[in-house]
Amino acid sequence: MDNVLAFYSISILAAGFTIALAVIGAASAQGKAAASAFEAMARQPEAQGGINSSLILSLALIESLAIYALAVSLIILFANPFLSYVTLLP
Amino acid sequence: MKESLQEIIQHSIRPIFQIHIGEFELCFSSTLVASFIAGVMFLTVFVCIAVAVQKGKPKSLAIVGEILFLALRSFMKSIVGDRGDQFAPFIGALFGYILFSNLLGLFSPLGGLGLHWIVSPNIDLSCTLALATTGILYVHTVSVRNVGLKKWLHHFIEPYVFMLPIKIIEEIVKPISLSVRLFGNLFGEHVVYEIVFYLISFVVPVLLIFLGMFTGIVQAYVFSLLVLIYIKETMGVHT
Repeated sequence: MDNVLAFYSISILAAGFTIALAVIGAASAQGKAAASAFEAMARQPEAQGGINSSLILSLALIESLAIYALAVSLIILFANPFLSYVTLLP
Repeated sequence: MKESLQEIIQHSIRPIFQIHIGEFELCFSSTLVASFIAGVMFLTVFVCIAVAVQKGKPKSLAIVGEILFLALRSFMKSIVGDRGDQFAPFIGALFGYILFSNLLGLFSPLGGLGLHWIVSPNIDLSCTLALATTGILYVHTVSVRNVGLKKWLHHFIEPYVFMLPIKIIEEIVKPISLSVRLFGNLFGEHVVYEIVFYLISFVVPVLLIFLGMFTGIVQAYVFSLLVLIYIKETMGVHT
């Protein structure tokens, strides 16, 4: 029973830490991208349209890396592949 | 509160009806039915706008159609250049279909009335993988059609020969990254919506639906933009 408890608690901890660490990296990268985009827009206001669409695209691409980690975390929580082997634990 | 939250999230993709053909059983899941519904909705709206543009009859629809066409054309021109007209149907259809799929998912509160097919079909990894694989197959078909078979084979060993395994892995990773991006965004949005709906069913989910609207439109735009960029990569410098 103790090993089953360890399995559940470690898998929940892993799922939580996965998405937390990924979001730290994604948020700091998106902040840097947005900061440089705002600076470029302030320097040259007539390029706003091009900078705007480039900014949205790069934000979505950076966010997708955090989404990969979210997918792994969701798999651990909702479709855990090792759940059927839990009863075989000593 | 009959079902627990985990069961609600795990049952977001559920079978709706089955068709028995002899000994085979075709099972229609909620996301499959939703993808049909989204496709039919998009087709209806598009055919109405296209007929209006051709006949000029309902003037407002014709103007809307021309605005959409000019927006699509400028979007293609900014990425691919003047050869963009041949890819415009596929990219426009991809964008429109993903947009309508995501917008169908915004009507999820109606699913509580028993209509479980009112979800976005992109919450199922199978549907997004199908879209991504179709997009990448289209990219390769178009590049073979435009630059020829020899040049397409040559671009795998283009800078150095030892880049061949890296390029092959990249071609396998492209559909995976496209599909997981779309799936993660939409399924994550769906999970957050289910959690908030479970806790406070009253006004707060509406704010989430606004966020879902923004994220759905952005993800449709990013998906079609990435397919267009992959097309441009294989075209070469002479475009």
